[in-house]
Amino acid sequence: MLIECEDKKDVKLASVREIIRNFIYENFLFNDYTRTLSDQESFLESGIIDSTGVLELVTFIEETFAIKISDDELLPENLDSVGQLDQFIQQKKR
Amino acid sequence: MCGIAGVVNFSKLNPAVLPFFEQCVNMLAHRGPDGQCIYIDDFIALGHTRLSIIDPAGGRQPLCNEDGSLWLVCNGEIFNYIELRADLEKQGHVFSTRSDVEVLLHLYEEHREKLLNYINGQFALAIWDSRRQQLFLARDHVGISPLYYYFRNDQFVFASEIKAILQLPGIEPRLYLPGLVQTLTFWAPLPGDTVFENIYEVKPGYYQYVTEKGIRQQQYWKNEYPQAPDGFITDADAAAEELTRLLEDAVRLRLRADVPVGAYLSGGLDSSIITALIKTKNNNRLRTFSIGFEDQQYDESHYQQLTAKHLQTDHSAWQCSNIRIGEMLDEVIWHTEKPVLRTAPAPLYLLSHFVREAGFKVVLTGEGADEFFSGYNIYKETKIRCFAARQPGSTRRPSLFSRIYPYIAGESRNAKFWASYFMKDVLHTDDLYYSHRLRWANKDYLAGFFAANVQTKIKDYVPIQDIDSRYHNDLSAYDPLTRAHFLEATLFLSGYLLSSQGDRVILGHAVEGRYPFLDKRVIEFANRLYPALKLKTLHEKWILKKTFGDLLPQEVLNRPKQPYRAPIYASLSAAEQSIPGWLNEDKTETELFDKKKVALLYQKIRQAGGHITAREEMAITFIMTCEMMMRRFMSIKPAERSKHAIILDNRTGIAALS
Repeated sequence: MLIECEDKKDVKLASVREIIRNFIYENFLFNDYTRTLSDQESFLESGIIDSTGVLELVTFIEETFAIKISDDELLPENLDSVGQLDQFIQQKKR
Repeated sequence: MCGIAGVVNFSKLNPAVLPFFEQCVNMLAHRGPDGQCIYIDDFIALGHTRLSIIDPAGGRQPLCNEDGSLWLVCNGEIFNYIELRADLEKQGHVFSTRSDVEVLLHLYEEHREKLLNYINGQFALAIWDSRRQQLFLARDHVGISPLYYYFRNDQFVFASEIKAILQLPGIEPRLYLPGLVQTLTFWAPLPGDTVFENIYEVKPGYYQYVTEKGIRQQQYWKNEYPQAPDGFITDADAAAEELTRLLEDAVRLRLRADVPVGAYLSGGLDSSIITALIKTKNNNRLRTFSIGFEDQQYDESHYQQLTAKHLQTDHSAWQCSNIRIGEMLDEVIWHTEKPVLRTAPAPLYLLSHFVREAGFKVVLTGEGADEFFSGYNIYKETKIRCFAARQPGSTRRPSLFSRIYPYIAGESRNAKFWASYFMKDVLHTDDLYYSHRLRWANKDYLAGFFAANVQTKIKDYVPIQDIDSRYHNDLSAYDPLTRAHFLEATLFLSGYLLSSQGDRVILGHAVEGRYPFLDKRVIEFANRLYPALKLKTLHEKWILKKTFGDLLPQEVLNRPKQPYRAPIYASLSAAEQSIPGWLNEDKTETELFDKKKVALLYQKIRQAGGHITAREEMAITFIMTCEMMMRRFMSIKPAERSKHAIILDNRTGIAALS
């Protein structure tokens, strides 16, 4: 699914996975593209995001995709990898 | 405490080294401003900077035995010297001073290295045995007093601090990268290592003989715990009685001094117990000292005042502003001689300044209780994880984590994420590092900021493998909770707590800290206590509260434990202008870090306005303090030579001792 995403300056079309991956690289991996990040890799398991960093991720998702995530939905099974997030956002967008 | 140093050459000491050795000794002047003395013979020079506490008139060092064949320098205190001296005199030994450390010379004559079994103290010592042509070095059981050395090309050098060793010719300051990786994993280099190449520390609980053949080191004390159930003390009343006797005696011995002794009051349980024992059993008048914070989140002034009032001490308190913490950090790193992950050492450095200004040279404090009486959250965390592992499907068991981290304000939204963080690998209870692996995982994140060439150099160094090669056998005998205690006492206590938050920041202003909870007898007793007497369900330090609770205000006794911490981001940003190497691409001078990544981190925390994660705070502090250390040490300046040092020259062909 391609989504209209406001990227500060211009509106562009990008896949959800791409947007999330960019955010992770920029904010948690400090643009270290030598490090690979698969769709399935667990953020917590691999230590990319610590438990406090999750709030940062949630805020980004809510603002970027214009969705509201309830406390009950803040579960590792929804938010712990690029793939899980993609699926979760698409369900919410429906 | 004092500063000690020495240089030995088993062929012959080169006289050209001596002016540099005087610089080396003077580099330790802050540890001992009351006098400097150097002994020289054909093979060795020994130096001492003195902080006079016992026998101010006669306790000068280096000190020799009756026939001048043994020469001693010691940094520290031998608390049971009165009893030892009486025994030695009965055996015919003649004492020339009233100094506590003189017993070491006579004990060495009697027992050689086994002298360490007789003494109750905190010390780093060196005895030059001229007949045997050997140097004996030793450090106290837990490493309260520091001792470093360098050995190359026939030349053996030792000193209380690394900066003194770096004064000698031919010793270049070079970074030891594994030591740096250890620091960002365990908060300090592993025992024996430093962040400088070819400079090592004498490990806590070890002695070593140095001869022309090399170094022979041996452990004489270690943390041991019962391996069979009948080895534990299980009766709470009997335990309380024995603990009272031991801790009272540990305090009594630590009040021995010819100068006034004060106490630190942090507002927590441990220092309050020590203060109460001094006040109620020993001193009618007692000065206590504490530091408070501008930032209410960290401030414990209310509890400090409450205890001071309750125990009727003559209390002095000072405030530490955020900006002051940031401004002091560079000077603090000069003393710690290693980078840090927290700013907590800085306020303690300020406190020792105030204490010294108030005319005090000695304070008793509460360090060590958390390690040996189950004060830390990591013990509770381990207990909950083991509990959860017994019934993996339970959702209620992991919810106990919220009981131990109530201070994590504003995190309730992602409570389930926290729980899953702590539940990671929860079933692996036979992992020897079960308790600590989660914490140590931050290493990968922090090491990610190193420059690419540094990353390449460290990629094969795995700190957990390193500790496994050192402690595997010690750890495998125990259960996960005991292992957690062993790791805290072995890695964190001496390398960080007693160093960066202890010796370095207190001696930085020539004040000596004394630690009754670290009396060898108290530790050995605590290690034999049945675990539930220390951590009863999730109540930390239960036996301490049961035993000494009556002496303290109820509010202090019942308050939730607050780990001692200091503001990080607020302090660093407040003092940004005065911090060398402030997190900024333009100002980051060394080649250690990836400047682009550091700049992104800087940008991120700036945009977040201080709302940053604990990991990011650790990263900022580590990067900045590394920069500070590199600037201070990699081009270290020669120290002045003291004009007042007394030189005892015993070289062949030199007229007489002057």
